[in-house]
Amino acid sequence: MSNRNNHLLLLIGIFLSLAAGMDNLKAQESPTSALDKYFKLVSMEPSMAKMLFMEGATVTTITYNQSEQPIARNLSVAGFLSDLQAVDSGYSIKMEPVVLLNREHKSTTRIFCSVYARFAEDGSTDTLLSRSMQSFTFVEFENQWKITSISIQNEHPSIPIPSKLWPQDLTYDLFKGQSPAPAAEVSAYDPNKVYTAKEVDEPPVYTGSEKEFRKKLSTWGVDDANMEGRTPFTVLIEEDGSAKLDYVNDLSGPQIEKAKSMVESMSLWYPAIVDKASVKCRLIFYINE
Amino acid sequence: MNKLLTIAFISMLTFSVKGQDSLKTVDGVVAAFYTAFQQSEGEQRKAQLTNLLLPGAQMNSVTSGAKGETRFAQGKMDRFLYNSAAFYNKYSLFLDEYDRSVDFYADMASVNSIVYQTLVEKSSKQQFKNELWFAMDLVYQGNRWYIAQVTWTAGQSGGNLPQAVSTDTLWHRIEGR
Repeated sequence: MSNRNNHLLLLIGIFLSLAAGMDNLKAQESPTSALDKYFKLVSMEPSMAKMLFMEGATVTTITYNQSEQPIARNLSVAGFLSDLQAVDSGYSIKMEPVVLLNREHKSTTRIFCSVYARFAEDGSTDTLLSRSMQSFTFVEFENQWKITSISIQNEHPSIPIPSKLWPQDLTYDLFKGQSPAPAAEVSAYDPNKVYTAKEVDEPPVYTGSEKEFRKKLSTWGVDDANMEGRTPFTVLIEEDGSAKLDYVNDLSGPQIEKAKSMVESMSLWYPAIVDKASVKCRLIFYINE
Repeated sequence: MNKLLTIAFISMLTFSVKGQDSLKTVDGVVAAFYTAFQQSEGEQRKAQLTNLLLPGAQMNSVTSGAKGETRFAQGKMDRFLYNSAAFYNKYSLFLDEYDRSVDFYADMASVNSIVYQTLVEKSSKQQFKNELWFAMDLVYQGNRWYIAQVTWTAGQSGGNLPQAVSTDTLWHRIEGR
């Protein structure tokens, strides 16, 4: 190769390096560009997002236990990204902010934002869509905006994200089949929701025989069909198949005792199914006077 | 004597229940945090902060150096208590909150609070004043709020700290599907 060609290659190399460097600098020029980079990385390769955090940063997540009580945990960045990486190995993840509330002063920026996430199962057309609210704190340190903390709250089924943070005209398409996954396969299975029997793909089924089940109901003066003189109450079948007495406000004291005894005498159920996942489901029963 | 002990015990219980009740609101937790932050006695400061912070919570500060460079101190409560002990020995600290905005959703609240800080040097009684922006994330758990992280940023006297952080800028963002 001639000297002239060598020089040309060298110049191209320098130019490309500079361009890449400029791109990096540009990506870090504002907290919002750092936020964009964060969502791109957690969507593509979560472990790479570590470089966007300050050392010692934390991620707070809010989840719910079986009694629907909130459980807050502070995770290390490594622990959080490792959890995301585990999900990433079975799904293609796409996350992006929707509405951002931005506050900044000098070297500190806070962003409170709604986030849209799509999890498409690898090798399948199954897709899970979810919404969350996330609070970011950024600090500009050594000319880079870095994340010092994130707090994440997934949407609670009974508390929709306010329209200010999820404007219908902006987000209408997100849940209406405009995504690459076929619309017919798109579903929004919600692990926190308590479904009714009509809402699930497969309702809960008692593991014993039908005869045994009927005998158990009649022992306690209970039926699953409504007839005159009977009072309704509900039983919650958990994801693990265990049964719990749920709504009993219309029952008298003795009726509550009977309903309680019936539920306690039950063996496990096959739980309700939505999108091939076990979910909580509420069943209605009726008890004699 | 027994009667007095009983009254004292009931008073303590009442005080304790009232104290925990105030933590059921964001207002109550923010107020309790400022009380703890101003607490000059180290063990009391530690006990009060422990009651308010979620385990593993961050306490970070952002200040400016002499040349305007950012100074960032990050760590959990124990580190803050250790690093700030000399400061609390030297100064009495008074905070006066005058502006606050709260963004919240379900069991998470993002608090941005502006305070006037007055430092009084114990030896000389000389006073120093400035503004601080306290940015806190709160989470609701076990029927009360906890602070998951707090970062305070020092403003300049006469600066525009309140306008900058109490007015939100709304961005609408949707890229591809």
